[in-house]
Amino acid sequence: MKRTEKNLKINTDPSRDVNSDPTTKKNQPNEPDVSRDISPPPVISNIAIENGDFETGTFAEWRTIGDTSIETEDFGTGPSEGAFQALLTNGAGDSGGSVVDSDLEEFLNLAPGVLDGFGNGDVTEGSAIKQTFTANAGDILTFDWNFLTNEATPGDTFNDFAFFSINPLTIELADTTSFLFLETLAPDFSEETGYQTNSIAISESGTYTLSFGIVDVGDDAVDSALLVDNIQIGFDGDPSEPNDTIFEATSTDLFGEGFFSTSSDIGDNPNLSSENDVDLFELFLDAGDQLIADIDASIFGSELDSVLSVFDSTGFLVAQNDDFDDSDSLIDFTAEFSDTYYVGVSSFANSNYDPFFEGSGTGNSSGSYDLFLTVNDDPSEPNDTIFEATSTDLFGEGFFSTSSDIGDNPNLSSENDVDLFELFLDAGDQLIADIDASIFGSELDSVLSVFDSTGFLVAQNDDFDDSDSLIDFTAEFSDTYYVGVSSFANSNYDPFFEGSGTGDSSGFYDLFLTVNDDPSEPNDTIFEATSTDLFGEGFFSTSSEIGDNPNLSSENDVDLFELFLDAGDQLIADIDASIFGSELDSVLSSI
Amino acid sequence: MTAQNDDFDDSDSLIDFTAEFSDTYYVGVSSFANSNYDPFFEGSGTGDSSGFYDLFLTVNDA
Repeated sequence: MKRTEKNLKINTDPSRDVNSDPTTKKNQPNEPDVSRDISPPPVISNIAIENGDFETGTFAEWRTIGDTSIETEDFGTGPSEGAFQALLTNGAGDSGGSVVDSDLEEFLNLAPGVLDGFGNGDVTEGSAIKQTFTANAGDILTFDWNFLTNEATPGDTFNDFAFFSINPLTIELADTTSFLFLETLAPDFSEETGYQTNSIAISESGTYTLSFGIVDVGDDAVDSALLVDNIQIGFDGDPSEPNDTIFEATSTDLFGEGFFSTSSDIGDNPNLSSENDVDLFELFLDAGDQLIADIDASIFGSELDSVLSVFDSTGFLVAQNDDFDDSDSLIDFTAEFSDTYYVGVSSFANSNYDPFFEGSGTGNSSGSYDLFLTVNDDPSEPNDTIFEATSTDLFGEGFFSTSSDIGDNPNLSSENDVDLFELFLDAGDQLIADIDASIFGSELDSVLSVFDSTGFLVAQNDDFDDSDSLIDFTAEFSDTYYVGVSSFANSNYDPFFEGSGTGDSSGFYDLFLTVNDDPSEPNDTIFEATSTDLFGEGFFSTSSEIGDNPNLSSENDVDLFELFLDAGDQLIADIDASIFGSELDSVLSSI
Repeated sequence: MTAQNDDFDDSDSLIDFTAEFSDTYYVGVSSFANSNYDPFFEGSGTGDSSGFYDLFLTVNDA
């Protein structure tokens, strides 16, 4: 009979899933080192089980006990692979016949009574084979098996069963209650399950003993048997490994601007100790392109303490980061030259590996990670001069915001980069220019400047909120103005000359530009007071400013608000200013 | 001038005023110590600070 399952579909049929079917799952109470795998069929890249397909025609590399033999298709039901298969029975045979359950348990290194403990009944006798092998974390063990019996099926009186064991786990494969039975052509048996395939993912590298067994339950009269074939141990299906060198780097298909993300593992290269695994990813950057490489690992509970590196095509390290967010890494790199670059993921402290040699470094952890690569070609740079300033499209009242970077001008040292933004203000317009940088962890210590169209500095601020800058500027004249972002202490640069000043930091920032044309000003006299539309009972509120009358020194500004009160009406006028950090020390008057 | 307050809450101001006569009234915001400005003349007083503020006017009738 041909096998009925070629692939791992056993896991998609609940009637065959040993995890969900209590009649076919009898895990021992040990903490398992192995778990069922539900992934697609593995890519077998190396065979660590010797003679796992029995094509030697012998039990070479295996140890056996009881009634075991190598069979061909002449047995009546053929192998799942090749010409040979292994047969274990719980009856008598040329090899001496089944042994009592205590001998079987001793052979399998199982504690006395474990087989009875499966709950099928009193185990009387049986046979088994075993082999010890070495596997790496991520390996997958697969094998084909076929359970045959002469017992009544489905029945649980003489509930013979077959099992496999991979220390410390012992799992039943099938018993006489199985739903899978079909009539068999094997002359010594009445029914068989047909060949099934099981797979087991190895979660920890180590040495394991794989065993298969068949036992008689309740009597020693009516026989059952287990056929086993095609036992393989292989790497678990990540075709990207090994990707530890520039030659074998995983392609991202990034060629300039774009985005790439992947979920992978440090520790899945079967050739290396898990902590020494390196994953390399290839991309192409144009000069001036910005690469942001971001790792998520510890943030979602991975054991991996990541290190991110960027190499150019010669293997020269151009950027590296260990910890950005907790132990997760982030790199913000601007390519100085057009080249093929390689992003390397490794575990701390594997930061000196050679990207041309697999296993050339030593790390201390392994685990899964998500990698996000974002490449921005930066048409805004250079914007270090009034001639090349980035347009904000602000012409009087309006709002503009941007997220950018001091340090992304490929022509300059990162700390000397200046970003200029152009806007038009009418006389009396209020410009609020606000930088967020250190507030969200950026390394940038910002300086904000405002220049008029002649390049004359009309306002400047270094630190407003921590080291972040803010300017509140009211235009005295209608003109085109330029807001400049630089790093401390680059406050004397010439906005007509790129690279004319020297700063000391670089990093990301958010810039917010708000322009208010202020029709309420001047409202310093009763004649020009701002109307509140209050006529007796009611409520009015406004947010405004002392200092926005373009005709006056800011501290002499007065804002007047008009309202009508009936005799006996109560007016409560309340100012909030210093309470939220305003510099204004207010005076309220009612006239 | 019918009511004035400099500092109520820290340096923030509050006025609780009940109108004796029905009239149009004007609430003025200035900076300390610009408390003697003439509301008919722009720039008639001198303060010492400037900045943003929120103003809340509540009128309850008698």
